[in-house]
Amino acid sequence: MALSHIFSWTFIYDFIRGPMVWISFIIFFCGVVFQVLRFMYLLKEQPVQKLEPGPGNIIHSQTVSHVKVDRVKTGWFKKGWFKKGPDKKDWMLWVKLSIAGVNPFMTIVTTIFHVLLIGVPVFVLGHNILLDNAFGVSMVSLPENVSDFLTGIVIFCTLIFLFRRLFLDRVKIITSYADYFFLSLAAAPFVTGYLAYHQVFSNYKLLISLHMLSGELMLMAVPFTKFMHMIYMIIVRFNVAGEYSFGNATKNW
Amino acid sequence: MKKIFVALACVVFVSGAYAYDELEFSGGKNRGPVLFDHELHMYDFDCLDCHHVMENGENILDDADLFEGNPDILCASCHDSQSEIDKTQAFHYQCMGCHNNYSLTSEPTGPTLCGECHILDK
Repeated sequence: MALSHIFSWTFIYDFIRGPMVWISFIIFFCGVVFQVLRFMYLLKEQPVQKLEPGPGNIIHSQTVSHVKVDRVKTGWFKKGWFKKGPDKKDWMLWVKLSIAGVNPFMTIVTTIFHVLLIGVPVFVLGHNILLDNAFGVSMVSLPENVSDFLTGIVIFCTLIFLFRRLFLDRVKIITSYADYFFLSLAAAPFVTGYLAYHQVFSNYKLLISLHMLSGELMLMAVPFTKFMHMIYMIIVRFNVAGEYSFGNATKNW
Repeated sequence: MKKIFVALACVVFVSGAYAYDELEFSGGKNRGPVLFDHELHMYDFDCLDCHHVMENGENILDDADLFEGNPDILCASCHDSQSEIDKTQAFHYQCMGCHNNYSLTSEPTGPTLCGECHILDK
């Protein structure tokens, strides 16, 4: 195979849409399995006080006692004589002290962003048609104008993240160039897909190649970069004890 | 006079086969129509390479049935929503499948990407 052939446009295009897809999926899955095993190996069993979900531990905790001190004072019989269960006021306090209560706007934006980031590529019609052509199986698909609109929302959310990093001081001081890079890497498949769908550039093939390449790069980056929170978010919450843990999380990292 | 009639009959018959220069297929609910250059494909392929009536894995379509205006040779006459391969799948499998096979052997071939066939009307 001549060198000029390897650097030819058709070879690069065929490589990106052929073997590169398999390579990126293999790196993604093997990397994720490796990182999860490494994480589990580093975990230590350390029995800690079980934190009940909900506001139960807020009522009797010292750290936030100033918030509800007046309410506790009202009844002398409530001072440790018997433990009071959480009522509506406690639930409201619990929500107020949670991330959603402290920063509701970013909670909504990130939730929408993350749901669509995973959901839209799975239900896009074009992807499902390619799956159908290749393997004869496909998911249900969204109508294309709906997935187009949702892609626009994803791009809008990344713009919010970008402007937050650019202009909000408390976020700016912990932002490095790598953060901008990974933010743009996460946005790149959506931006290129959006542009390709609307066929804004005459070179459609180049745009689709960039779309595939950026998606593959993002997939390969998942196990080895901060994108790993996609997996760690779940296994940390189920294993490491803490205020945000689910289930019987009793380990320490 | 008789010769002229024969010649005319030939022209009519042949032009029947050559009538479709460029066909416009509906792009379905989501996409715009697809222009298909029928004449271009007739240079390099036999009619029965694409037109087919499959029975037990064999193409049993008769060449003589391929004349203009025959409703039975239209793709959608078999490939409807009831059939195993619906109309969308039929076009995608046949067009993209063939184009992809040729691109695997690095031969010049037609488009394989969504937007290369479903060109947006601007």
